[in-house]
Amino acid sequence: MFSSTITLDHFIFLSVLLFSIGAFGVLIRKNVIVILMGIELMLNAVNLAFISFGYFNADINGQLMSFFVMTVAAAEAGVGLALAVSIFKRFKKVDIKFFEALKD
Amino acid sequence: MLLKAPFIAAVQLMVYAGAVMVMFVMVLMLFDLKETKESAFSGNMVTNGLKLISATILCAALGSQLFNYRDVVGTALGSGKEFSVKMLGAVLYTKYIFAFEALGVLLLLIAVGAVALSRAKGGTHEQVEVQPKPISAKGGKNV
Repeated sequence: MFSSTITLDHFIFLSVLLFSIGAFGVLIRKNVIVILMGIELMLNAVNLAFISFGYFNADINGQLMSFFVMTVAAAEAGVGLALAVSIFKRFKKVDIKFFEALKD
Repeated sequence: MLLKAPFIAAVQLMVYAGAVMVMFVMVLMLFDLKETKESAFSGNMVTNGLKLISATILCAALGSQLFNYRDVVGTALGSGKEFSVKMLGAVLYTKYIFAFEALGVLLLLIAVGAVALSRAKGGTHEQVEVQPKPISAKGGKNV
């Protein structure tokens, strides 16, 4: 872990760390905005894993997959924020518990 | 530092600094959240405990698998060669052309859906006929 060169292990460790922070945020917080940020953090952690695996295996598919993930992440942020705005319009709060009222 | 992926680095900067962060900040600006100051653990003890336990179990399961990829891909250092934007495009527009097209359809649907959702008067709780449905169905068919 404390070698002088950066290996694949370091990147994967950082990726898992970022993913765990994002998952903690999604599971623990109740604010919709913070939950969306956690999801973005998890998607970016997966991007980092894709790119570093692609680099260390000299494979072009890693970069392409991260390109796709990035596009889907941007789309997801757009829809999530639109939902948050519509929840806020109705309830004047951005709490995740109001999403269960969507089925009415 | 860039893992020899300069194109992805540039796109990441543009998408996240340029689009996603601006969108988050603008939505936060729309909200008036002065009175909502509850923290993550403002609920009762049982709920907080369950939240912490489930999050810890998930992250521990992930972390315990941390270096198992060595059995699958091996850690032999690749040549670390740089893929040019030309090579990326050549693969993107041949092997992944249908995924690329699907992404275009997805982005169109998302744009139409987000606009329809935010134009609805009572948010998602309007009682009159729902507007997003016919618009998004039409958008999907036209592509």
